[in-house]
Amino acid sequence: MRKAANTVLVIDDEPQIRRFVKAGLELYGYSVSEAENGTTGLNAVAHLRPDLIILDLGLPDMYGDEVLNTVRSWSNVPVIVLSVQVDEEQKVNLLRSGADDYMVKPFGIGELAARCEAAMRRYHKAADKDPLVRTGPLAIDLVSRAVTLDGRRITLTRKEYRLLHLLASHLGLVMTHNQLIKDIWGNSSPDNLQYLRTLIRKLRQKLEADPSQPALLISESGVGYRLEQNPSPSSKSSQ
Amino acid sequence: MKAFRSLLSLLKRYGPNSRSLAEHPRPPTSSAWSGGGDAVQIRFGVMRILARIVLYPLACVALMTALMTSVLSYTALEFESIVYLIPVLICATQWGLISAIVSIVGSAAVADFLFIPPVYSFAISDPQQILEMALFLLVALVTSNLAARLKKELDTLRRRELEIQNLYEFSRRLALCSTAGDLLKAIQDYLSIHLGCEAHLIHLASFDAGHVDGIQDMVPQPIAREAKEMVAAREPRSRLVTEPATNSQWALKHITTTMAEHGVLAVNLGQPAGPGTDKLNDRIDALLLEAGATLTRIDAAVALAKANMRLESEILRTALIGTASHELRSPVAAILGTASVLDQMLALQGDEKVRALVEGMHIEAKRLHGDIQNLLDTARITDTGVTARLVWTDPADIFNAAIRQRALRLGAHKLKVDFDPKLPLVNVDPILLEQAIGQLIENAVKYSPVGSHIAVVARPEDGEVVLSVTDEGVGLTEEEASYLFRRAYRGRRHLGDLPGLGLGLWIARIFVAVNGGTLSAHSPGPGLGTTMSIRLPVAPNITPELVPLSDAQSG
Repeated sequence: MRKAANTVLVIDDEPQIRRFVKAGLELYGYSVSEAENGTTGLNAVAHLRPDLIILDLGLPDMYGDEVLNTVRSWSNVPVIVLSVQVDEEQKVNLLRSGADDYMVKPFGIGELAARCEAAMRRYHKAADKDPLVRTGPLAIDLVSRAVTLDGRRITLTRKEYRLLHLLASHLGLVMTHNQLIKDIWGNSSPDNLQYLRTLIRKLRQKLEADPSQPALLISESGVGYRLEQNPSPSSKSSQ
Repeated sequence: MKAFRSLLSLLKRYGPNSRSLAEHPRPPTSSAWSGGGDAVQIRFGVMRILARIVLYPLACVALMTALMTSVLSYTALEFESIVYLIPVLICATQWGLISAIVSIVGSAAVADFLFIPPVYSFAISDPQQILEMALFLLVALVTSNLAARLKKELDTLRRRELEIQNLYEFSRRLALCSTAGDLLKAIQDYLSIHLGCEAHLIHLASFDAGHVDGIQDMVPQPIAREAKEMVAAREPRSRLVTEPATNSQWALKHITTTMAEHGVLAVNLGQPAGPGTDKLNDRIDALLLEAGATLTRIDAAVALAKANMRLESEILRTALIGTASHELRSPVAAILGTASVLDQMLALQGDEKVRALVEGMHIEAKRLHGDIQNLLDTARITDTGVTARLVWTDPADIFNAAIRQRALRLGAHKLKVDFDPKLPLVNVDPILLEQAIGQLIENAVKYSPVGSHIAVVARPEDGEVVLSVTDEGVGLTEEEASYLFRRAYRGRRHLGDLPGLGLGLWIARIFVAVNGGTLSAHSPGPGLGTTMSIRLPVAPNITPELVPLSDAQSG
């Protein structure tokens, strides 16, 4: 169960970004605090004990990954990283260092709120012990391993299920290719990326209404995959 | 007098030759050879040659005879015809073979008349004396011939030496030339001083500007016309033209290097066509060949300096664009974020009118963001270049990511998606390719009417993967099709009504190229829509079917 008003700490040196993030997240019922650099940000993390941190990477006093590592040394609070860079390697590194997800500027408040919700859900999930994950027509029971689509049972192979399980337990959050490959095949040889792509294709064939325009299993170019938490029925195409 | 006439005919034969051997420059004008009032000058020349081959030899012989007479009268010495070899040799070495022959004839006559008995008669009584006289004639002829030949060789050598010295001076002057103008002036000077030829450089600009009058001040009209023709025909070599009014020969040389065209050098060879003009023409060619390397060097330096200037301004511009775009990106991100918050608030309040305004703001800010991104990409390409980080990727994923990014922009069009389920994986940089496809989609949206179809297709074809975006929009003219992928090119038809920087497709082409692919555009014509296709190579042995799935075996 979520607390009445979750506290979000926004660490960003640009006031106009903080301003709209604060106004926007307050619409979604969060209570928002601000910090304009890494030092005050880390102080605020210690004193406020926020439920989620939104961390900009381009801080004037510290590198974003320094702040992230310091936070991770004593807390597993969800962290969403903001970045202007489109460098996928940096994103992958941050996710490996413990960031829960990332947002590339410019972004809309709806996307950010969804990521916050997903990160927070995952954080609380550990305590909730609720085994059922639902997204759109898909339901996954993480304990009984039952997968249903619109109430119909779906049979998956062991590896397909393993992949879906990983994504479902991080519903709405990105999982890097390496995280997935390591978990499924036990090693992270780059060749395995082809196996992963093929496995995703097979899973899409079984789960997606239109496998060529997936609504559930979304690829994040160069980074990984996410299981969409509020899939819009794929209606853009008019075949 | 018969002998004298034959001498004159000899003179006529050797005359021009001996003239061309002369080291003295001819007067720079050619009129000496054709004008009527110059007969005096010709007569003067004939007199000089006559003196050289008749007067001087005979004077030598006379001097020798006087010497002999006085010596014989004071001493008891016998006359020896061999002493007459002295004047013969002097004549041969000084004035050539003809004067030597004249002196031989003279010597023989004088010796016979004065010294060989019977004295004061050309008759010879003693057969011994006849033999001696014959021997003398033989020896004198042979030695004078040898001496004359020696003299000729020496003359040639001396002339060569002078020529080489002149050329050396010329190349020293060339080395000092720093502009093409200096160099051409040096050529002109050389021609007029050392070859005595009148030379003019007719600049290209004079032709372009139609300053034919200015050219006519320098060279006669037929020559100017010919030069103009030569430039127009882009003839790389030279022409020999006879000017009808003065019957003099002009050499026209097109002065060009691979980098620049300088004009036509018109040289007045100053005489009617013949072996002499050919010789001169050859020398001018040699001169221009010598100057050619220097001219190329100068042109290269000029071209390099220009390129450097362009490059510097390009670097400056790129840096400026990079910095400015970077600074602009944050505020645009803030505007876009704020618009999304406003939209959310208004949705909660149910205020649809203002929401529509906010959406307009959002779309414009997004377009601005796209332009800034393009400027940044341009700066990146120009500055550091882009390298692809290749990973195995599903082409459909790239396409979908690009479509998802532009869902709002695509809202007013009908999207048709057709991805072949058997698409092979491709080894590409998904980020760069997603940006490239994004550009194609944005172009399709921008240049086709609201409500029309946009078809995106991904299919394997001949060992390649083809990703195409087809619209029902404005299509391409022939000009547009050929310039489409140039940097900052914008179709003239759309300059007025559709905003843009003309960078998108240029960036897309580069991003596709670094992935080893090609980007091409096809349109049936203006108004008939456009298909943009990306072709990516597929590694032959890597298709999803061939990838062993350990999963399939176990589960």
